[in-house]
Amino acid sequence: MFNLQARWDRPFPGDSSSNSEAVEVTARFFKGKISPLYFILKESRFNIARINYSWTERKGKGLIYYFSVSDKNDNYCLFLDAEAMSWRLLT
Amino acid sequence: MANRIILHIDMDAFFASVEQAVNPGYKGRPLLVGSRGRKFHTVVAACSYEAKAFGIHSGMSTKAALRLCPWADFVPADSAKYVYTSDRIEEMLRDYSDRMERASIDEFYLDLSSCLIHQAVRIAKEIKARIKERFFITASAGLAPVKIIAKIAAKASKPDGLLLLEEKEVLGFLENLPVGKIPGIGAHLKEQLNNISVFTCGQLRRIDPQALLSRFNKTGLWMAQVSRGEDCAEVGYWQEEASSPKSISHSHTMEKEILHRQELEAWIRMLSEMVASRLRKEKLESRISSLYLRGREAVFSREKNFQFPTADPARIYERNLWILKSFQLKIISVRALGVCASGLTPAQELYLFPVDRKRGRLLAAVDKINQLQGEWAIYPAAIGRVKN
Repeated sequence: MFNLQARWDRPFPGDSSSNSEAVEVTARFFKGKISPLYFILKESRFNIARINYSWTERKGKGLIYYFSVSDKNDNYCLFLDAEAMSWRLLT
Repeated sequence: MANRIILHIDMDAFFASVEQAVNPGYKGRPLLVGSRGRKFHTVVAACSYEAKAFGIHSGMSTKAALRLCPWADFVPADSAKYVYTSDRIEEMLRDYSDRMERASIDEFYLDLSSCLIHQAVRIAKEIKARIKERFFITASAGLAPVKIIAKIAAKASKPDGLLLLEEKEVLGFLENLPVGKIPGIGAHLKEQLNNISVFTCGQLRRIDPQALLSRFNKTGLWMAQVSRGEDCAEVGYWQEEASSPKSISHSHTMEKEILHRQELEAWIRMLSEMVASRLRKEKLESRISSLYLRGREAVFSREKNFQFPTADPARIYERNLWILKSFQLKIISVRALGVCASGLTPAQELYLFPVDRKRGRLLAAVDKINQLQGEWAIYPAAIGRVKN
């Protein structure tokens, strides 16, 4: 019903032109749910205190899982490209 | 109208509420969701209630909005989040009735006629609570015997409200309701009604429907019905296949005016590609092409009926160029443009010439690549300058 053409004027995160960087994420995969626990960026560990929101987006045949998360100080947006099996952080 | 109970669920400041849920730092603050990424060169697609308190509303330029509230936060719209949330809410609502209809990305109707009134109220409260618990956003609900009154009730109860209008209460509720509050009565129609001293639904109801018919045609009859709280529109079944569209269009408003013909043609090609891609997805072809241009001082709009239907973007583009030529523009200065395909018929893969068959295979291959790799994984070089 809706065809918002979400990405026609913006690159997908993770494509070369967009602002994101690879991060190491430890996540729990349980009963079909993915819960990131902490991520390591530039040798610093960020413990995830709360998952604020999560959503998915289709990219061709693949699916991208987004997580808006908070540690003690700040909010971050992590995403998992299920096709490439890689985690990245939107910057 | 007897015994019907329609529930209208309307999400409050939907895009802005989702953004506030995604980033709790925006909670309780004026937030503008821009339709595009450039803060000072776009329009407000949605705004939080804290921003609305400053007189900001959807459709306003962000420049004007930031003049009213310079410290407002800004985020560009990201429809993936909103579509995902809307899809999940739709799935949730299917638990309550077979007759459930998604009216837009943030509005839903449910037919709860099989329930008693107190049960319908309980369901409305439960839905509101589940939406709040799962998505951290609020919704308003309207319960009434007909769809349009349920929608008006939900709007009247915003934000986070619930308004029940029983059949006997509908006329009383409508009596002093300004005509502009009726969904479907825009600024122009409202002005026409005001010119004949009709300001409220009560005043509208007291006008002879025949007089409204002769003055406003079919719209007049519809207004007469609404003012009496009558509307025979049914809530559809969610299992139903979506009906085939009557037209498919795409439009774009520029950040800066287009001053060169080459750039304008590239944009027309881009929008033709988008329209054609959707035509092929729906397995349709179009005979009628329309082009709309809005410049600094003038608006041009024209449609042309062609002999053969097509879903080929190159053909649709050529047809729009033909229309563009007919405008006989001396100076190019375009701020917004739109391409529309109508006169839709089911796609026929009957090719008269081998070259057409080849072209059909090429488009099918392009569609397959974009389906596998994501939209715009492959596109014609001609639109490269506007795509990037």
